[in-house]
Amino acid sequence: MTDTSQASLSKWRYGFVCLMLAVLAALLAVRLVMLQLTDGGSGAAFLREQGALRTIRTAEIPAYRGLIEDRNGTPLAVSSPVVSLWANPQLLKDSPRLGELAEQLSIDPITLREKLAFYGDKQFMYLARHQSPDFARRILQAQFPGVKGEREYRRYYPAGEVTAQVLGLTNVDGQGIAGVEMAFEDWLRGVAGKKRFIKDLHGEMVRDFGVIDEPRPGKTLALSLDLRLQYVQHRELQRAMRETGAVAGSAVTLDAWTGEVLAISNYPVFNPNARSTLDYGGARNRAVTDVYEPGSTIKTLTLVAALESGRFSLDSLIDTSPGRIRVGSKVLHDPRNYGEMTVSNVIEKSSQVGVTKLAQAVGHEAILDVLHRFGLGEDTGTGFPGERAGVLPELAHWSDIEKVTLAFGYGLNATPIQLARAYAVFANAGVLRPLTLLKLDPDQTPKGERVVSVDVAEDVLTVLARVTEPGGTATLAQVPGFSVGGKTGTVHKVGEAGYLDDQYVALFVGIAPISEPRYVTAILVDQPRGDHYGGGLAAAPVYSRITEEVLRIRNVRPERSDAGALLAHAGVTP
Amino acid sequence: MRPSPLSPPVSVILLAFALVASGLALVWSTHEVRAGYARLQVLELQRWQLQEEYTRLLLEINTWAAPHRINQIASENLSMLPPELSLSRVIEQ
Repeated sequence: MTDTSQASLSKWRYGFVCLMLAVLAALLAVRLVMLQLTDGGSGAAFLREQGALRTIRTAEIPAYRGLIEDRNGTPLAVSSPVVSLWANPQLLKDSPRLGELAEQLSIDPITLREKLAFYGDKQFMYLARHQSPDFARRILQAQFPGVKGEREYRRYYPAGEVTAQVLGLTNVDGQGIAGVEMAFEDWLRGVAGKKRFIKDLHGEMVRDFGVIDEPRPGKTLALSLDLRLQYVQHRELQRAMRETGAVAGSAVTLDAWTGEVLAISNYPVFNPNARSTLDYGGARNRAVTDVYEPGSTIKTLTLVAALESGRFSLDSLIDTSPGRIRVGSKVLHDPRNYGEMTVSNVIEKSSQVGVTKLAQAVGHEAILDVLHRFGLGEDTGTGFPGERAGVLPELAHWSDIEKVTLAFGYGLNATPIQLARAYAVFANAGVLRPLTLLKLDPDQTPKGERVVSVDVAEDVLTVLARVTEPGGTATLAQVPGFSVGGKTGTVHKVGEAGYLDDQYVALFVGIAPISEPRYVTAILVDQPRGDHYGGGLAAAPVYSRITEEVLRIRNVRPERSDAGALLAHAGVTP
Repeated sequence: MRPSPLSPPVSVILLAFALVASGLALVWSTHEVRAGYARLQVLELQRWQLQEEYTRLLLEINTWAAPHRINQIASENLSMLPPELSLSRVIEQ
């Protein structure tokens, strides 16, 4: 080859290499532009998405669950900030400081190691939930590898067991699972917010993008309950349990004028702040969820049927001699031969013979109709989870004895709160109202429904007042300074083979004060032991002690002084 | 075409100044965001701690003022009794 041709070849080669390099550079530039600007295949959007997947996280912002308050604004359930400690097992499991961590958390190091091994392929595991912020701060400051804290709320109940069964419970994730907490979940629940942030290699937040959803805290719920009354009921019920040796009991106090439930207590109780020792038998709000045969407390409604029939007035005479009566194959007894007595006396003395004669005269259909009208066999309207409506008999064929026993409260069942609601009709001049656990504004009072005439309601009230007067079955229900009315009930408990001879349920439902009837309280004592098992001995004294406090706390004016003299008006003292 | 009121070099210089100014503004606003974010974090922490304290105090006051406790102190330490009816006077408002 010649020099010239060699020179031209090397020149050409030089030019070719330059061109190739330029083409490569151009290709890179085009690719760069494609990645940055266009979105074909693995373009800009794809890369951004992949980048975000590796760095951007969303975190929950916990929301405050609404407060539950009583009618005076005293908090009954409060959500308090706590910290749940969690760990990334992959970072923690081989740490030499495991022993130290286990010690600080007061857990067994072997258990911790086993748990870490179990979750070894996961990146999240709870170490200890709901720890106090101070304690959690100490653990977090010690900087164990992979150990983090998560803010949460925990529910506390300042009144403890006094309000436990009404309020119910929330689960560990803060959802209502029983009682008021469950019934008003939508109102109380806070909706957690979301925020986005960029994390670094260790999962720490380096930059916040801001809040996507603001957390929405739950709303405050004002209940109709009065904590002071709640406490009084609780105390008196406990005392009654001690004194009678009963296994269970319930008390309900209503404001008949509005349908508000002022207090509900039950025994046995539980401590809602100590979850580990939770006893589900004690968690039941028996006054609402358990049905009992109401016994003689139903005689009042039989009286309503008798008065409505037009064939009886309070003074009509009924001959109850010789103190017993045969119905079908059964013989019903009075404690003694009362002889001829008025309809009013029949109820005051709770005479079986007298009531049997009333029932036979008016017929069971009329009585059943009254029971239906007074709200038995239907919900009371509280919306309480697990509320029972009770059962009224629906028989195709009524035997003679069934027609009569209905009149004294056997063969049907009802909850204590249903009985209280039925008696509230008499305090309301014949109007039945739905009940509520929520505090009502004065103008929110539900209208209610007239179920009996004013005259009949007043007549019944007169009789109920006589029941607590000397000669009646419930003199122990008396409240100093006030006249009260009510009706006792003593029911044989049902065992596997029918009614038990030696186990009873004692009941008392009362209205106070008679001059301006407003507060209705039902007391149930389940299985009182010893001789004092009847409604008049086991339940009426509880009613008296609770009602005394109800009237004092609700600021009701005493009607008479100790001596029985009427308190006069303005400034005149007895 | 009407000559532009500013000669090309002047407008270029103005644009260059504007560019520098906007750059500095960006630096400043980024700094502000960082500082603001740090403040936000501190405030959020404070809010959390205040809420912590508030609920703790709320629980505390209700524990101290529980009817049970008041009843006990009144009857045991202060020898108080519920007023008897004979000692009560009704005052008409």
